[in-house]
Amino acid sequence: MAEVKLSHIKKSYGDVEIVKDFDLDIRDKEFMVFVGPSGCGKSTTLRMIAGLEDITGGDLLIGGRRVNNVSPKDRDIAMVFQNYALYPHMTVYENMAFSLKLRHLAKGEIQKKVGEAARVLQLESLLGRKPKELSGGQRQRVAMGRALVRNPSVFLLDEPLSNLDAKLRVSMRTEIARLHQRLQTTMIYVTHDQTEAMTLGDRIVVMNDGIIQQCGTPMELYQHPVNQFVAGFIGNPPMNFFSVELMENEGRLFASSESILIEVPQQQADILRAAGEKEIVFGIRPEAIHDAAMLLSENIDIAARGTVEVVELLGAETLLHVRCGRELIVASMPSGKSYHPGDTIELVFTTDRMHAFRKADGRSLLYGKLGGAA
Amino acid sequence: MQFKTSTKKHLAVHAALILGAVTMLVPFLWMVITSLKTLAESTMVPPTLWPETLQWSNYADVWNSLPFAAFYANTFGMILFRVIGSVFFSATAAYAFARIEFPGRNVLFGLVLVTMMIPGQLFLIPQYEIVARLGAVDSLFALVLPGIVSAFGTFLLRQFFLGIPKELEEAAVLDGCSRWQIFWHVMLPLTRSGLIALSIFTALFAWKDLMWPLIVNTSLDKMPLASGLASLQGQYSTNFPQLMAGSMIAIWPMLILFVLFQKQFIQGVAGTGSKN
Ligand SMILES: Nc1ncnc2c1ncn2[C@@H]1O[C@H](COP(=O)(O)OP(=O)(O)OP(=O)(O)O)[C@@H](O)[C@H]1O
Ligand SMILES: [Mg+2]
Repeated sequence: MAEVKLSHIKKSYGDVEIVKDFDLDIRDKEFMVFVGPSGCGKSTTLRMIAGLEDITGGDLLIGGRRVNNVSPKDRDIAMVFQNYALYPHMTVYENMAFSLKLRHLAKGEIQKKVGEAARVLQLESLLGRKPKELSGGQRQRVAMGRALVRNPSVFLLDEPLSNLDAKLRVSMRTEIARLHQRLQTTMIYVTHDQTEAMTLGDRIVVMNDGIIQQCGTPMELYQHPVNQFVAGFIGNPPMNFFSVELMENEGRLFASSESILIEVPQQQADILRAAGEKEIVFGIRPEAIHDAAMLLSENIDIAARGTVEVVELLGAETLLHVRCGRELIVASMPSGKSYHPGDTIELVFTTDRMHAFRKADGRSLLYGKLGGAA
Repeated sequence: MQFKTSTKKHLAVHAALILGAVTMLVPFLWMVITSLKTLAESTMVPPTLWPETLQWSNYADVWNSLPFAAFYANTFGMILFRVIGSVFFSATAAYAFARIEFPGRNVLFGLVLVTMMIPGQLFLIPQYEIVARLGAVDSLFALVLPGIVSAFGTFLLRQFFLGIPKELEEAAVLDGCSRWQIFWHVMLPLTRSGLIALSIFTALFAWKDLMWPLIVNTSLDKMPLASGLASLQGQYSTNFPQLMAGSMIAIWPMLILFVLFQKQFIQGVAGTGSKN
């Protein structure tokens, strides 16, 4: 039983407020990911939960107990550091056994626990080695093992994979997901990589500038971002944004700029009319843009015409950077047709999947507090 | 061709090294030779290269005329306690200066550094007064006392502590370490080479400390080796062969220590500490 409740948590260094009014309930056994750009306060928040950083304001509850002033070792948490922080002078076994020794556990029990963790993490053959004799991935596993043996009710992980190469990162990601399945403990995971966040998290908190931008499941964030920041941060390649003007014509609502013209579907049009903005930021994901030449239907509205500037072959899909007047549109096409720089192309948008943001503050007009749907 | 030039180079390097080694060895050999001469022969001009008859009796004479057992005991006592003291106090102070935030930390550390910039001789009189008022003049305690703290050691070990990543300490905190346990289980083992270097410096310095023992202690049997031998240097005349023989007797424990700890010794002096 360990839900973690952050209630109006604040952190300041002197006059500078780094984390502002952080309010979040993390459920028992949940895999929660904090994601955001560098310097947004993810680590600081995690370190406050760990007890490595004082909390300037608000309440932190772990398992229902207020722990603001409880020392780190009594919070029933374990943390995995970005650079592993293994003790260089101890063997793998000693690294994992250290916290148990400090708790004066019997030798036999320590051996049993370390042995078990080593088996889960496939470290059995490495127990006698020093950290400097291990590869990056093995060190990472030892760091996990050190947290594991203590059987904590909350796991904290601060960018645990960022020091690994791309391939290892993917396989360790799977391993962490499997570990969470197996342990069934609460995990809080910090990363600045949105792919990691999307693949691992039960829920994700997107942060910017010390403020929670949005909290939700990966799909909620992907489909219904509440502001332009979240929309641009989640999803790869990122969403396209254009400044457009809204125009009424014979009861239909159009969004247009110099090079783009889209008819807004009825449902969204009603919300946008109610919002009463004239100029908005229109957003559309690369996956919702298609090549008109590849569509069978007769009755299609061309949203934009342009010239292919760059072609990126990713295997399953092809990314096109299309120049349409002043706008550069990134579109994701299924592989099959081959494109070349210089080709002219007509683009069709799946307008059901459009997003609209208020120009002034980037808030979504369609989703979240301003819009109708949540 | 390649082979030839590299051989030539090797020869040149070796010649230079041999020259250096010989230069360093000559005074030592001269000491050995002089210790086996008669007093008359030792002061002859021009000097003889090899003694006419080997005067082994010099060794027996000097051994009998001075309390060498007491010298050894005093020297080792002084080295032992100074090393233990300076390592302990320097390490604890250095850790505090490196890692614990407290008001006035930088000013205090500045004061520690300042003591390194003042010539040591200036401290002799105040130190003597302190020891005298403690009523401890002419004792092993007096030999040890001023050497159990070290500004240099504090400075040196602080550098070592600063080089240890903060995350290691944080990991230790999460593992359940108290401040003292962090110091003992994590920080000290990681500064091993620094501790060894400081021990060696302290031991060397204590070994060749001549002035302080002569000032604070008066009885011959309260002297360490260096100062004890100095009593052979009379005001008007010096028996060089006996002085050299005494030096030979005095020197071998240090030689043995050097041979035993050669690796650490050289590492310590070269200061390649921080890599474990
Ligand atoms: N001790 C400190 N004193 C003052 N400012 C600090 C201190 N520690 C962190 N900060 C500031 O707090 C902000 C948030 O830092 P934090 O480490 O939480 O960022 P982060 O989101 O983890 O970024 P990254 O992805 O780069 O790790 C940064 O702007 C940083 O400069
Ligand atoms: Mg960080």
